Amino acid sequence: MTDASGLRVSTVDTEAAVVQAVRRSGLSNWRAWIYPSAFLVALVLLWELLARLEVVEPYILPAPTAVLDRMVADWPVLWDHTVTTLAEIGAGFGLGAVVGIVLALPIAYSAVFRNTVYPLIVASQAVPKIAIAPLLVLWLGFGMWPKIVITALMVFFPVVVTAAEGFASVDRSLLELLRSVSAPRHQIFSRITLPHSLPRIMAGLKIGITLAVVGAIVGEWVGADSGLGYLLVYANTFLDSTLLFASLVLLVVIGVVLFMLIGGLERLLMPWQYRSGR
Amino acid sequence: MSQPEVRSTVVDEAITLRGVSKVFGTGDRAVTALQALDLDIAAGSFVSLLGPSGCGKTTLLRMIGGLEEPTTGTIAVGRDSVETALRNRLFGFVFQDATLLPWRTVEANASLLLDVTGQGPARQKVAELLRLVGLAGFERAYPDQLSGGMRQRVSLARALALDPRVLLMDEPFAALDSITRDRMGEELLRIWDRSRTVVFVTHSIAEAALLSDRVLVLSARPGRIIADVAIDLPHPRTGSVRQTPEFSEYVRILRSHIEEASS
Repeated sequence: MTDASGLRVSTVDTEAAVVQAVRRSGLSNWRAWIYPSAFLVALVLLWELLARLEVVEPYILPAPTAVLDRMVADWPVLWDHTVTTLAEIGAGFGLGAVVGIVLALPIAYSAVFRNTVYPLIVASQAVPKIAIAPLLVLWLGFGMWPKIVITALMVFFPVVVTAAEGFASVDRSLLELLRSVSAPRHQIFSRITLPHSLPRIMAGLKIGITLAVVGAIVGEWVGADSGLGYLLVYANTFLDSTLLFASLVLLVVIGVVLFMLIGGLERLLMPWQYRSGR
Repeated sequence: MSQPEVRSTVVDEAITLRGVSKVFGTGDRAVTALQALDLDIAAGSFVSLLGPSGCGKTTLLRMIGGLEEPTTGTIAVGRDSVETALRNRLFGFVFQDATLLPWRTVEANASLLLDVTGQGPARQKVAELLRLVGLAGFERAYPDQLSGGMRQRVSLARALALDPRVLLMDEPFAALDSITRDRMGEELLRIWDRSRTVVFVTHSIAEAALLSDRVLVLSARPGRIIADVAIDLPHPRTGSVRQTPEFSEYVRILRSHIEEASS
């Protein structure tokens, strides 16, 4: 894909930057957790102190312990809403990832497709997702589907870009070598192209999973009767700030855990990227 | 030229080029990379293509190996067309970059072509190959744990795995330091052992003189063969051959042709 548009290059730069940041942030190294954790604990303690001294009104900033109490007290309800949102994230992420990888194939292998459809895919990203959410509700109703679709729409873009880039960046002489011995195409794809593209695809999936959380919440804001996004709107309406914070905490936990799951998958699929002595 | 007897089994695999030219692009922007070229490469010989960059030596190599179509003319390997030769897996390729797969061990990289053609696993054969290229004991290592020279040895083992009759090498040692480069050259001659034809692209005069039976000097734009020099030096060509006046004389002759080619 040498006919690079400026847009695509910048996306790939972003991808590289994210991978770099993830590596540098040391999410893979337990020792690197100590300092940020200690800082976070200090912040929470400060917050607790401010709340106890009632420097700010409790409905503006409830104490962390009050949020925790609320989470314990209302756990069954919170868990139900968490399950709804998790299901939306999972289905939307899966759909978006599959569509992204499948679309990347013709983009990488067909010049016609790349020149006609790819620019439109890139341009489509200028449309704010939240702006089309009401339309999706109109088309798909108030059930799970509009949330799944909007989540998938957010996820597929980083995946399609990174996967297409990966598929198209296999060393040319290596491909020639394999064609010179009449290797079957499926062999070339499964033994060379796919493993070669995995680091890029996984980077796309990491960006995708964080966007998936956003997508599900945005979908729920527009029209839903359950889910953590719905709970946020509900709590806001009744100025129920402990419920608001409880939902936020759960969303943060979901985001971090899912990101770490993808990171774990990455290590599982690409041990060669993480061997010591690199 | 005092050459040992060429094995009878490989006599048929002489490479013949007749009126071969290559033009890139069309109309006003057409560039003639190679101009009407006739060439015979004897089976079992070691032939170097030497010339300044842009002289079309890589294009010539790629056309022999069927990676590129000639614009005019015909290329035959023995009695067969290049296509047939490709189908029979007669060619082995080594490029300037080792192009190893980082997720495969040395062993698995060497057996790549066996795997994708459904002939693997052939552990015995791969172990032999790795011994041949001097990598015994490194079977389980990964490419990023190897030096540049070792990576190129793996690349050579990979090319030899399907036992090609013709080894096509495109500046295989150009990225190596000069000490490693000299040693790899000697090792290549040992492995070659007249058992197959080698076509070797290089821009190093000393390398061409040390390794080859025959050096073809190409001029740039349009690419033509301006000199065909038989190198009649004794084998094995170890470092001591470099000290001989004959070697220096060949280097001098080749250099004067190169200067002619570049002017």
